[in-house]
Amino acid sequence: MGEKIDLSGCASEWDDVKDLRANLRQRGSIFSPLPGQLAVEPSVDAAALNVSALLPVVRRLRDENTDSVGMVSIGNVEAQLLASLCSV
Amino acid sequence: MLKHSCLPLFAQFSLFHTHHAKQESASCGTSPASEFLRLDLAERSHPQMYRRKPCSDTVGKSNEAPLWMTSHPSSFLDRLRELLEIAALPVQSKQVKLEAWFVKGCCVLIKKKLSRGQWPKARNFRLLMAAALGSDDTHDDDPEPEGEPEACERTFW
Repeated sequence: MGEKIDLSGCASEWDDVKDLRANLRQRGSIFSPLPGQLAVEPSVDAAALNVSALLPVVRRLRDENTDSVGMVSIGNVEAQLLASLCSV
Repeated sequence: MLKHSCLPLFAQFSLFHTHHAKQESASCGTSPASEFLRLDLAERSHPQMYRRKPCSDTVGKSNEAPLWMTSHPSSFLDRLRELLEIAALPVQSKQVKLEAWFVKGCCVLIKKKLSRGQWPKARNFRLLMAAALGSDDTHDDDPEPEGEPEACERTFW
């Protein structure tokens, strides 16, 4: 498994997407659950639905130096989510 | 003039902020106090939210407690919580944690699909896999074999 990656800058990329900003204002979250679900669950369909929110994170999974795919940490993601909340 | 103590606690709060908002309005346009006052005045348009009784009830009854003390003690906290939610402060940390786990789960799912060489039919998910590989090739001619479960299995990270 690759090294943990740095997610800094994801919040500003989310802020650049108009749909995500609108989602954040209306629902208080940049993620949308699948139709009929109350909360977001990790699945192929849910990831495909939230592609614009996940792309900034996934682009950072690639480690150019080791040519491997890294992994995010929960605390790192939470920090970016809170940063995006405060920017609205 | 009626004493302030015969008003509900929230109204006393408003009088306090009215006094300070007048002082601040000369120096700056919008302040936290004036914003608080604006929200308060806006919500006064919904009188059913208030349990104010005529102050004449307390005239001549000096031993009686103020009305705000006789109302339910949690009502003021409820009103404060509503104002925090109106101000869109990030008070729901549980939701942030759930979303962080969602992002983590999706990343694990993408890595798992990449390691197995499986490319699901959903084009947006292929975009995510291609982004993780650092390429634009979404392998559109390589559909995932049928019967493969698409949900992320519960694992310990």
